[in-house]
Amino acid sequence: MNAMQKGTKLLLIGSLALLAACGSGGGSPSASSAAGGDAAGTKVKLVFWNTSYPTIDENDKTKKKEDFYIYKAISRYEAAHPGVTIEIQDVPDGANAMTKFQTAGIAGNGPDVTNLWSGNYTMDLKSFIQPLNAYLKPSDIEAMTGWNAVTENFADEGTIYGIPDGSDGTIGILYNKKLFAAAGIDPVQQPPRTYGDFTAMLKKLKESGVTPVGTGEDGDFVYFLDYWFAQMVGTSGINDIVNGKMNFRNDKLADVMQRYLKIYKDGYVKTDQHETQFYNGKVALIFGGYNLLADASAALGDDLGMMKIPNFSEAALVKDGGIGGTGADFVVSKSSAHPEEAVKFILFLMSKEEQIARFKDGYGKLLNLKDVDAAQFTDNPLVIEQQKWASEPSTIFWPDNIYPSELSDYIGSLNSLVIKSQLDAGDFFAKLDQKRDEILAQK
Amino acid sequence: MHYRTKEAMTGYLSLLPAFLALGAIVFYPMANTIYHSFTKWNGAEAEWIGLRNYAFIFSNGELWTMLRNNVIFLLSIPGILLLSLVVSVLLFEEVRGWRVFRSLYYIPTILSPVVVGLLMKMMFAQSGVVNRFLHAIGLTDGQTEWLSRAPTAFLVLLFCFYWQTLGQGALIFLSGLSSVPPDMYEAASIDGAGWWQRLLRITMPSLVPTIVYFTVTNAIYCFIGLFSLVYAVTQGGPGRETTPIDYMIYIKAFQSPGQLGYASALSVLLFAIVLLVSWAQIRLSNRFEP
Repeated sequence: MNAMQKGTKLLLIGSLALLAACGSGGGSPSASSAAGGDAAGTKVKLVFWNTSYPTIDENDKTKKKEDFYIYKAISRYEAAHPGVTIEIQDVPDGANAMTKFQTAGIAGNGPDVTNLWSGNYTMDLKSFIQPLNAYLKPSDIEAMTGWNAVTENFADEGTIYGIPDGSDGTIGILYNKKLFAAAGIDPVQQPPRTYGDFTAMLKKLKESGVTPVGTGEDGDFVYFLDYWFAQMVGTSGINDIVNGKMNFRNDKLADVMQRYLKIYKDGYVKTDQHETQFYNGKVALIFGGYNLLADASAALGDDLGMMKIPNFSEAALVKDGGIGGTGADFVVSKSSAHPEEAVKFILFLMSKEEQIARFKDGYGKLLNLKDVDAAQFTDNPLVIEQQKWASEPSTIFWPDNIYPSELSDYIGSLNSLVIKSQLDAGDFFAKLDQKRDEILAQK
Repeated sequence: MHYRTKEAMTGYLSLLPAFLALGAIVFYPMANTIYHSFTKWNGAEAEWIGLRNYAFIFSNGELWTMLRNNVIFLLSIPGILLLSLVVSVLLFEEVRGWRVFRSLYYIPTILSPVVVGLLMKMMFAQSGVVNRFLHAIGLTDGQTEWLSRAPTAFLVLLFCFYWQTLGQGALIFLSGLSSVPPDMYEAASIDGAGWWQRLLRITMPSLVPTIVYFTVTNAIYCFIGLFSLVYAVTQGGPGRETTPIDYMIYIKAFQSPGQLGYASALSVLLFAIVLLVSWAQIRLSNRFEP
């Protein structure tokens, strides 16, 4: 064989090897890692894509990973389960986590365990998620709340695609007591009950020289407007809207929208870095729940107050509640070679002891255990109040987790136009109905 | 084997690795995307639905908004072309401080669009430095919501686009200017041609191929390269007012589960549009070739 032929053969072999290498990247992390186990196959490595547990302290960059709750929990789990190792990988949260999980699912190299938003955010990805019914005992289900959010069609029984991850509490109003007092308002003695009370309160705040409300650029659709929507049409109404049996464009929601926009038109709201402005005492109130309590308490101390969002009207179907519930879940990807071990690990994280441990550590979720009272573990009255609100039947499950995720994203993006008077409320509803119809048609 | 045959075989075999790689990373994904554009695809299962995705694209009204957004960027190319030309001519003429400016102009080009986006987001926030500056010099009340309104959000995006492209443009035109033989300028000077005459009669005609290259590459960029900038600065908002087609492909593919088929159809459409625009530009530019 001459040198040229040898060279040609080498080139061919090299190129085939290159292609083979390109194609071999999609193996399941667990499958490859499991191959490293002993002959009996008892060694298992689970890959956990962490989207929610803090692993960096913004105020203390020297803090070691081992000092964070999740690393301690993993150490405890590994110690109790010899042969099982958990590899934690931090990934972006929220919508980006959905994107990453979906692409990994398509490539067949998803993690064993990850956190996602619950409801339709999870259901939209069910092609890549392991159904968990076979791995859950009735006692596991009995111990926790929030299972509707992870069960197909939000039913009491059916295919379970995730394990509920704590509770977000109930979205209410966080306010600055000092600014309220300066405006002559005492929301504890005279809480605003109706839209009229609410706007009268905002007027007083504005007259005192402070910006009454801070919202996000999208007008806090998810925290605030959605609540008034859900109050007026009920949870069943939200489901009817999703299923095309009712339109967004109806008299009840039009009334809500008109009055909601009036709050913006009257100059009561600032949308620029609202949380920071609230923490700095430049804005009197924001909408938020348990997730904001830690930062708000740190910024305002005893000046931080909390109350429920006033009812939109006397005709509201659900009164004195708020939006909230189990907004996130743990899922096991279909790529997992060890779904049973993965479920065991999740159930460990959601066990009574671990939920209490992470709660005490200051994690941004409340407990979703049936037999535990947060008051046993905290003195903070606002946290205790949040836990109490969360268990009230008037807390409405996140409507944005009930809408198809694409519709939720669309609502948020269009609402930012509506509050800036760049889109008419009627056109807004018409566009939402059109988008909903498209989604239904494409199903 | 005949020597010529052997030589031809060696040639083809030498090309094979490149073709295999191209096939794997270009042609297979293209064919796959075209196929899936006719399906309802969630990444796991695909169901043939014919032209339904295309019918949705043309009937739901979003396409025209997205095309408008792309066209706004496309129409901004002459501005950055002119700006890059002016800067490159000044650098070529070695005006005072040209070495410093050469580096300064190029710095934004090497910054990641995400970094540029975050920087701009902070600068153009309601309480950002731009509003404070405009308020300080008495031009505005300092409350402009740049990213909350479509026209001003576009201004910010175009500013980022210009800022990032200027360095690259100046560099391309500088290299074009360097290839013009100096004796042409000398001869023109001897014949009495002034600075403007040299610019319009020698420099500009010599730069036509460079201008064509710059225009075509940036036109393509305006259709397929805006994603990172839009993602970092406006996220397509307010509403969908600054969403170009490539960003919508991302939204449909990765934030709208089950819409990968629709995203594939949008990608095929985008491919056709870019092909058409590039072809038209090249045909048009042939007329200006010296």
